[in-house]
Amino acid sequence: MSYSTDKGPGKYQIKLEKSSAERSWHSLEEEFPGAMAKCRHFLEEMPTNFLMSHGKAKRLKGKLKWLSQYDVTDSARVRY
Amino acid sequence: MVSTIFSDIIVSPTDLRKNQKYLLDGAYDKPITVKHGHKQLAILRREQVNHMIMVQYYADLIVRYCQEIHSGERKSVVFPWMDTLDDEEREEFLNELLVEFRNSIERSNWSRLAQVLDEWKATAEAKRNPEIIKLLQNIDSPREYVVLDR
Repeated sequence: MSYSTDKGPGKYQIKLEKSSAERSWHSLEEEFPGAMAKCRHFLEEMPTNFLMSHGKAKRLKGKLKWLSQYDVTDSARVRY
Repeated sequence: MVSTIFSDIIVSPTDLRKNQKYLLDGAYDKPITVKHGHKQLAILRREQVNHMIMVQYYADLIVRYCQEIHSGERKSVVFPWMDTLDDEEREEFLNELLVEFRNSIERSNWSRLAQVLDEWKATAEAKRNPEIIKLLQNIDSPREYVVLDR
């Protein structure tokens, strides 16, 4: 859903895949403002430091090993 | 070959009452069994109990999963979330599960094994998402991104 690489004002800049991810991100922000703020902070500051996410961020496996996931809520996910 | 798996000091409730401090201090190094008639009660370090429970829990899980594999059952009851994983991923999952189980026993640290299960569960869940499936099918296609506003 989202993609984070280039260095920006935070350590990382968040880039969303055009249209679908962009829409989903903003609707999640409206629905879960607090949780998405934490998610955004994590992605901008330490997207690969899984230990600091207290179990919310994880590296995926198998065919998806190039992806990581942040659990925003029990059902909402951001994959990057 | 004879190997000692469990070794303890057996005392009576009276012994325990008389030498309470000495015996309880010693129980940190070697378990104590208090024998009361036919009943036996062990006193040992809490971390050891936790370790034994974790070994039993994960060993049961892994053995039951191996039995499913052995019987050729593709739909897992032990890990019901894994239906979206293909054969190659299932093999990778089993290898990782066994390696981390062994490491956890050696290190008495179970957090990595729980994390591995969580990562595989998240992977299986992600593979249920149609957008991820589309992404996998068009992995080399160029994609357009927009920078998220600050």
